[in-house]
Amino acid sequence: MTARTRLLDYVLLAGGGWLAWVLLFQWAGPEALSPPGATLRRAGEYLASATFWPHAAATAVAFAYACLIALTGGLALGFALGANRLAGQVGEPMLSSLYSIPKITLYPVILLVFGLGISAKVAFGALHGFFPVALFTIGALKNTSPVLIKTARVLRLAPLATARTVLLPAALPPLPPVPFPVSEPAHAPASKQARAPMRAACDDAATQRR
Amino acid sequence: MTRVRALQLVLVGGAVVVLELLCRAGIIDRFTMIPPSEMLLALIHVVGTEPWFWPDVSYTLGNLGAAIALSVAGGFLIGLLVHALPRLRRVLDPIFTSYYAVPTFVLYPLLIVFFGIGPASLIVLGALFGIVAMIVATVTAIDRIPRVLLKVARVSRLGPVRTALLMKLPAASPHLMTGLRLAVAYSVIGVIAGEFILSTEGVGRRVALAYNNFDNQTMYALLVLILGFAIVVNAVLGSLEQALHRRWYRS
Repeated sequence: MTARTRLLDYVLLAGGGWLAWVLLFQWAGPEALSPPGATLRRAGEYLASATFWPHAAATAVAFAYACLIALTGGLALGFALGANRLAGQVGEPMLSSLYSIPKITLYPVILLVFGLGISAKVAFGALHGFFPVALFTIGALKNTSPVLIKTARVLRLAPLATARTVLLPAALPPLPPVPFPVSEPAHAPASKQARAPMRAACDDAATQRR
Repeated sequence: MTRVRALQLVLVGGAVVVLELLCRAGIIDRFTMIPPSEMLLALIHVVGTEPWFWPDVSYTLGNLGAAIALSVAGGFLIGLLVHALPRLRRVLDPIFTSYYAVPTFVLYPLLIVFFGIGPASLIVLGALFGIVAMIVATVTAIDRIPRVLLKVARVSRLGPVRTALLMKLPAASPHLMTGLRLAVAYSVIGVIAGEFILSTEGVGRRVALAYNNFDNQTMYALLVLILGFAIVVNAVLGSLEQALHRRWYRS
């Protein structure tokens, strides 16, 4: 599969989406749906208008704060729960439950606590971002090769230094590609994959001895 | 395992007690939050006396059932299709990966235009929210079927139908269960959020109504009910999922 066929596939996807939009417009009529061309033109006008940017900036500021809180809080809790076996067993199912609740119904509570304004938006955004980050971090730490953790202990690294120099680099790769937290028990195949390099190293050593 | 359960109970119980004390001591004022014990009493009151309670609950549960059925069945079938067509899979992969970063609720006004305010748009919103989790889980599940099982099927000269039913489906079941749990959770979020935003009936709409009328008793009663329901459903499906994973990956 070359890069050109891949590009062709994306073009086909975009074209199919456009066509579906046009057909839907034909079926539903202009009072229900606006056609793609006119919609994009209106979006362009809107981007150029003066009223758009203050609103976009307000959203961006709230998003930045929420993101910061969710990332730091989620990573901190994830590391705390992922580093200790018992804490992980206790905390992970609870976090996964909290992740699954319809948090939009908590918006009234957040409005009552924070009042109408940026702090309520930030709290609501952080509430949504916090749990996935924490769950991902726990999952990533669970799949960290035990050799790395033992090495850190042998080197007598302090907990913070262990987190920064060993656990974080080992946990980073699994963070982006999985689309949602599929929580797996420690004996699921993912941990087998994590052990695979170790086993390969052992096999190498065995062949060399022979 | 029992120690873990005990610690969880202590944590949750402790949080409730702290909340109760904060509310009773007036550190959290009554207009912000009522004490948890009063939430429970209010819930009993709402269940026992309000005439709208059971109709609204059955409305929400009906929509929820339809949304879950749609997202699970549709997600499974689309997952099979996507897995069978590698080119389609590669094109759709970035969409699946970024799907839950998109606030799907912005589509709700569009759904209302198409389907009207009523069960249909709520069901479609819930199904839209849950279906991608099921698609991704189905693709993952088929990917992770051990090769050796397929070889055993060939050696035993099973036909394609019996291979699928006797070998592939059981081997895929742990990850399908993960997909089911996520699809249910997302459908609950979608349906209740839709009702909360705009609806004529349903539990989510009652929460919005109670908030607008400064009726904290009813609002917190319904919140306890919704959150409790979501947590219990998630816990039950989660333990089923864990049991399946343990059975298949005991190693």
